[in-house]
Amino acid sequence: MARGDDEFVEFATASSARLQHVAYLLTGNRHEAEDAAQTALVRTYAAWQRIRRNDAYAYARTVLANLITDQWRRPYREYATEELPDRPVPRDLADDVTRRRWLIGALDRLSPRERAVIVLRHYLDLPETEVARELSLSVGTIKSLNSRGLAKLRLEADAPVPTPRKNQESGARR
Amino acid sequence: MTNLDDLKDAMAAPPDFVPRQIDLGTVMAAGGRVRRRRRLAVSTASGLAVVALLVGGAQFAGHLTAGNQGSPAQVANQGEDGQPASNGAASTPPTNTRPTTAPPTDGSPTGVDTVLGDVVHTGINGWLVYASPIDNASLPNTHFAVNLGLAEPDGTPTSVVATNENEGSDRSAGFHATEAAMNVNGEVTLAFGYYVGPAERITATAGGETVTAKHATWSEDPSVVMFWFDLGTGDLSGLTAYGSDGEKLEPGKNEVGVG
Repeated sequence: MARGDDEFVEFATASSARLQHVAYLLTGNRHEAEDAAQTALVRTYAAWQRIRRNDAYAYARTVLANLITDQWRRPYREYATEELPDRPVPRDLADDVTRRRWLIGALDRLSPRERAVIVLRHYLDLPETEVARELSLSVGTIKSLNSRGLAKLRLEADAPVPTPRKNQESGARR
Repeated sequence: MTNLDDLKDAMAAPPDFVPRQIDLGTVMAAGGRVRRRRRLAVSTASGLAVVALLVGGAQFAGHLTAGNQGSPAQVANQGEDGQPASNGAASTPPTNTRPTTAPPTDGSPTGVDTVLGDVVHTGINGWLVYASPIDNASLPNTHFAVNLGLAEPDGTPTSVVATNENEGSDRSAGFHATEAAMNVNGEVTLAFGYYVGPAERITATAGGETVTAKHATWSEDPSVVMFWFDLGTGDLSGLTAYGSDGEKLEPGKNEVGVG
């Protein structure tokens, strides 16, 4: 096995779970998430010689986001819902099962664009400009989608974004 | 804690499933194919410029010597590998076949990477269409499969999707084994299949519109017409074959399968 392959195996082993997590938040479907993560790794390996000295995870994550959001660029997958959740965000999230169920249920109520923006913005902590670049949308549209998505989740859009978390990820390099 | 914090915490919590152990051998094999294909695309793009120059030069010479020889349309219709491109509905069957020079590498008389007859270059993203032999006791009336594949750097076709008749004769009149476009390890494939009979035009309905397939006669059996649709055609239905006088031909199994 070539040295670059060894590095890729190390990278893929370390990052596949995180990629599947991001994909799961974006799709809400475990199997779609697994497939999307695998495809992202395939494309990452295809470009490995070019990207391995840069931010390989950012590249893989960008591929993943594009894979999933490309689906909502197709007209038949494009939909939007103005329905609000049946219930507000629960204040007590002690129960992990309840919290996960709420999360996926709440994300499912967003349009695909809103969902992508919410996940990229508030799970990956990407700045608006980065989200705009990844989704090929304007910053203004990102702001609007973010505001609308949070409103549907009945969150305060102007709530201060906490400082980067431990799992903060760097911006994509494309 | 604000509601936004709740959302962030919920998203940061591990999902309620154990992430799948991804088979990295499969990933690297598929990624290697993508890489090789990209290299091939770069080299064929360079080759295309040469082909265009040669064809243009020949036409220029033709104009000098014979006036009207050579058609500009031939240049416009060139695609990858200098083969005719499939850029939307087209009723003219391509003539983009060439004999396969790569022998079977596995020594097996059958299998999807064993080529039976000519390899057809679709002109779309390097996709090839070719037949391969089948010798399977459970399919006594099926003797060949049709493959959608890509070329290795040495030109050897590698099957990505293979499809064959699995019920009745593989040579009965009509459509057989039509496969929808799908995503295979990140590669978007073409919808393709084959028709048995004197089909001059093959169409389907996609998104309420009629789309026309490209097609090529199989070199091993001129009654077999291999066809494929352009990328992004959408969900297909209503496959229809037409004869030389525009008459509808026997439909056979004109449904489109997936996977």
